[in-house]
Amino acid sequence: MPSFQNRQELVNELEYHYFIFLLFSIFGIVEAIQLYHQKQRKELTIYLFLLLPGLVITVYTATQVGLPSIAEELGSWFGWMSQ
Amino acid sequence: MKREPLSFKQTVYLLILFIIGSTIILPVGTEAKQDIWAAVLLAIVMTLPVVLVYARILSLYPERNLLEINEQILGKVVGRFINFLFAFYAFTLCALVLDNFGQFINVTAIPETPLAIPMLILCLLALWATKEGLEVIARSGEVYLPIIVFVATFTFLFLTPNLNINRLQPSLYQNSGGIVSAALHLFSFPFAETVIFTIIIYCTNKTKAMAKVYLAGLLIGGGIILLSVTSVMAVIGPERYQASYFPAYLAVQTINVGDFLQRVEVVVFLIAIFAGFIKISLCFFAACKGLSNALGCKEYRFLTVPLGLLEFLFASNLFNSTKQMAQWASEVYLYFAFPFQVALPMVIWILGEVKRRGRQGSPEVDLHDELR
Repeated sequence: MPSFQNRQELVNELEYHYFIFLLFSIFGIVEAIQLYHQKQRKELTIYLFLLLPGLVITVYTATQVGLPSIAEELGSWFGWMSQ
Repeated sequence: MKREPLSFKQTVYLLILFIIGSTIILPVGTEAKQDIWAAVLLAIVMTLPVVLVYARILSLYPERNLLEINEQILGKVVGRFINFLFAFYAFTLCALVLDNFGQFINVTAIPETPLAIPMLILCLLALWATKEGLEVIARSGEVYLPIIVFVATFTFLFLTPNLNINRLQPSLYQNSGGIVSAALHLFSFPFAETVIFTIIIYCTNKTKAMAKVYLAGLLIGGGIILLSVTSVMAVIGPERYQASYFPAYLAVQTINVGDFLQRVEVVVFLIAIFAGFIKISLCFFAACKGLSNALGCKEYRFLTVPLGLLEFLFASNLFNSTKQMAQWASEVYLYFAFPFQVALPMVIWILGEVKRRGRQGSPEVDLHDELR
């Protein structure tokens, strides 16, 4: 995640994270209702099990500044990449 | 699971677009320097036996893809676990390609826009294409490839005045280590990535057709890569090729025909995005299909939205910078991809052959009857 130089950058970052959250929430609700009405309970469980953590991560990444990247994190665990 | 049959032509087109994918924009095989052509040729030769193994696996069990073959050979529990690993590989590869294209669009065209926006758009397109099914992706490929070939041919012709053969010399001079290293990297990216196709396609009753599909795709796609990287190297030279994150874009920027035909880099941009869309869609399709199989579901389409969100989040948080992306590709990817591209397919192939021969030995069991 990038570090922000000014307040405007932070607002932009929050705005598009909010957009992504809203977009996938709407998709998610519509499809979850569809799966519920089709009585596909197993599929619905898997669907929510994957979607909800995704939405939580979206909110989390929007509110955090200067998070390390996944490659950085894995690199520090396994000593992969030369820093 | 519903079958989505593809014609020979559609499958070969998809393979070519998959191989071209992000390879034409990224600096591949930089270790070989001016001998990059030799590295590409060596990589194609190294990939030939591997793709024949992929084709053989699919031919052993006609009408089945790798996911179903794994369940057949390894049993339900182990087979589904291996399928989950393949789904993870497809998911990771999709995120990497998404990140490559996000960075490419961001760096070359819209630097003020947040990186996540082009990535989100590509991700939504891939999500939509996957929801529509493999046939739609294949038909898109049928439309895109002729356009790409036409435009690439003209770009190459316009580039010929800038080609400097001296930049490819000295040829094969004390650089064998660099060539082998570059060939290994080219083997893992993009040639052996075609293992993803074993998840997507399945063999019809003609056992030799699969090998033909793979060989045609590899040789044509490899030929395009060879022509592309060699001409880029001849235009910008090994130093600038190594230093640039997107060398093809840099090479096409040099085109200037009589001061009226300039700035044709938008063409490379379009080609890259067409091919990239196909590669991202296929990887995402394979990830959805693999995960649905690993979780024991008959349909994969319901997974597209949640997996699409996770894919986007994974891709947007994978690297902090283009430099980190390039570093990961050169230092880690080869080792990360090896088990999925070579080790697991080899084990599956050997077990498949053993199991098939064991069954053929016993007169009571007919393999094809059992498969149906």
